[in-house]
Amino acid sequence: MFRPLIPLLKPVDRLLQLCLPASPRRITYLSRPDYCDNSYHIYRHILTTRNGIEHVWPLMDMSMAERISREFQQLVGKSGTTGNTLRVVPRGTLTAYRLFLGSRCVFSTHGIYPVTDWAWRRHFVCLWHGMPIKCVGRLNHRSPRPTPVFGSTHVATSHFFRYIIACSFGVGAERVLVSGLPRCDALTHDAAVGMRASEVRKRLGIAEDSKLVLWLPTYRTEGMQAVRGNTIRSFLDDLDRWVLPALARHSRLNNCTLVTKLHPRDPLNYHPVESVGDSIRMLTHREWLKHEIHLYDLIAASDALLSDVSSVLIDYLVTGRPIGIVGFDPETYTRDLTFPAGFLRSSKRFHHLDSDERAQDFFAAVAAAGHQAHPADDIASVFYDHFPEPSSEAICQTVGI
Amino acid sequence: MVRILLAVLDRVFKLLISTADHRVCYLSSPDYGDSAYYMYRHLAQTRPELEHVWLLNDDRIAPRITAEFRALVGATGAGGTLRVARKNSLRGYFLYLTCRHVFYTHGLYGFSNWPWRRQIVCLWHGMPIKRIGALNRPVQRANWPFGTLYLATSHFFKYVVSRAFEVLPESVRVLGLPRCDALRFEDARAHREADIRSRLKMRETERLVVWLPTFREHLRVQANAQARSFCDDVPPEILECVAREAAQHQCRIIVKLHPKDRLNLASLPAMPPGLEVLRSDDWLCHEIQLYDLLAASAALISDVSSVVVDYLVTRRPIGILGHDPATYDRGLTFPLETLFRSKRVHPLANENSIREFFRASGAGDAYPDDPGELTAVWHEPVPGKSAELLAREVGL
Repeated sequence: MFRPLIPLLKPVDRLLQLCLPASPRRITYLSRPDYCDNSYHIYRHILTTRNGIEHVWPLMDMSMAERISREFQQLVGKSGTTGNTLRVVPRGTLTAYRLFLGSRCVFSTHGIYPVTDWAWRRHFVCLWHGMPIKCVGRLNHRSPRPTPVFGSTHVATSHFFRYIIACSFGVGAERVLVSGLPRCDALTHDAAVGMRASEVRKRLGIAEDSKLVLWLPTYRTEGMQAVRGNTIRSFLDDLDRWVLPALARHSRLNNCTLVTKLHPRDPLNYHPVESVGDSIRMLTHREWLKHEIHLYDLIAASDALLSDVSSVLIDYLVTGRPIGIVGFDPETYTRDLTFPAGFLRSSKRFHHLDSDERAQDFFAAVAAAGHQAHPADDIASVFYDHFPEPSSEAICQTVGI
Repeated sequence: MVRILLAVLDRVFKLLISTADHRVCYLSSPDYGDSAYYMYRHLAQTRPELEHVWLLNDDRIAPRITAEFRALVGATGAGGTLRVARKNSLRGYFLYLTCRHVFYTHGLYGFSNWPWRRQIVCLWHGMPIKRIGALNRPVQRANWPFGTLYLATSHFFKYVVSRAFEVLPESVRVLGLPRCDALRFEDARAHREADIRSRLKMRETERLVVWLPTFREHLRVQANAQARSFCDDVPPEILECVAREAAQHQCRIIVKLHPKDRLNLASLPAMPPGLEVLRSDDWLCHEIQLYDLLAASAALISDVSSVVVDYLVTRRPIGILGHDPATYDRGLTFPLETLFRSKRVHPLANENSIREFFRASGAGDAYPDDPGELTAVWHEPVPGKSAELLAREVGL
């Protein structure tokens, strides 16, 4: 209903940007779902390292507001920063839009307001929600977004992804900052971890002596829409019959707890799931929210990762811990990839769980060690460059915070 | 203003002048070389019905092209016809207009940026390690090389080329470069190894190491005797060490100067014995295609030239020498250190690394093609000859 008005509202947005002053002390954060991902991690960094900033969180779902306020007080108390204030507002309101326009810096994971495609004396930093293995933005010709994502600055984890991001969003490469992702700071810098591993395990009821293997599959068909249209397709449909029993068995034998966290858009969040076995724990998005754990704190607390074509595979490389790929078949996958699937298939950094033997090898690697030495000339080494300082700090310095 | 007028006239001519399906135009700089040459050679060998048009900046090379064409079609039994014209002549321009297909490396008519029923393939002269086009800010001009199709050797370079020339990634195809066919397929070469060795008067036991330094400063300053050359970025003791280790391992180094290197016009500095420097004019006298020379070599030395990317397909040792980030005024598309992680690439920074490089070169080492090895980021394997894949892509 709103979409046809976008071209008409764009000039109004430009005019408002010219007329309204943007405060250098006000920062707006947008993410989907609310209060998470890169936007949360850069917010956390700014809140704990800078003074006198007004932080604005426009939310899709205001039920999160109480948690944000509570955690704000805790973070300020812990870090000792002064003069920081917080405003939590409903995203689809004029107040949120006014605060957005009044911010010198805006950090987003999925883009900003669709009427904004120009930046006047403002930094609209598109942090995106991970490095694209599957084609996104302008590279995605199969299911293109109706409104392109705009950012005056974008970020990438490496020079390899810099040009992919530039092409995806149709910007010059100089507008892509090779800084790493703020969410990955939680995997590389202790100070960026919001919740200690012991607390994460306690909340999820995982024994201290058990290895935590996290399974993060991407979604196939879109949430409620798929349930209503009876077109449900999930990661379970891409698994051969032997996979679930084998994962459960090897997990048990190696004293691992396998936790599957569903993607927020996975239709299984809204649909009763058949049992996936006692040794595999499945968390729906709703259950996940109840634990009040940030995903990258959970990832930091994990001993290994399983996924398919999710960008978390790229992020997890920085941990040096075992990574398994399961339930991804390039032959049947309907989205184009940004680089040949052979890159993932041939890299020694990934365990391809395409047989019982390989599943066994993966869990043996989890049981054996934490950080593993990997060949320097492995192809996956181009996915994430080395950054000595936290990514959040590099981004803040670039945009003058 | 003149450019706009010419662009309008070009569009009018393109609408009025019909194209011949079987006429193919080639242009390269320097003339008759690079990927345009290898594309031409492949088409002349495999498509006897084609009429080939070479546009030249300097038509002194025309008799050589004609003679080589006769030899080429004579040897293969293929037919085809050849026309050679000066690029900056009305005849050359109108021949260009009548071609359905154009393959060029760079230096096409700057005002001609509308295809109208023509396939204009920008082969470019290698994958950019140094920043070019829109990536080379603030040094920037308005019009990038025009094409309906561009080539890349890998997905990484597909995105780099797309951003450098500000074109859609879909118009950049990962097919490899026709010039690299010479490094992979014997029948793509114009000269056999024995012939090249004989022209260069090499001994049987000697291994050929080709050193291809890039130019440092742009054409407008290259005539200046003070302009930088590759020699300025190689410390004398390193140069001595290179010459010594080369001799020790039975390697002969041929330094082929970049056509834009100021040393082409100035007197050469004193070189240690064993290093032979070929100026552009000397090189032309040998009548050897550069990629035939590379195919006959045991190893390559360069700095930030795109030839490094091409040479990865040979799996032979590559030495990086003479790149000084402090004095190099153009940025790179990726950090050179990434390249150094590959076992095939040796940064020639000290005596040990130089010795190891020449040991591998002298022994004729070819590194194994390990799956998952880093080099696929810059050069992905393609099924067959790039020239053939490209010909099919454009409907030839």
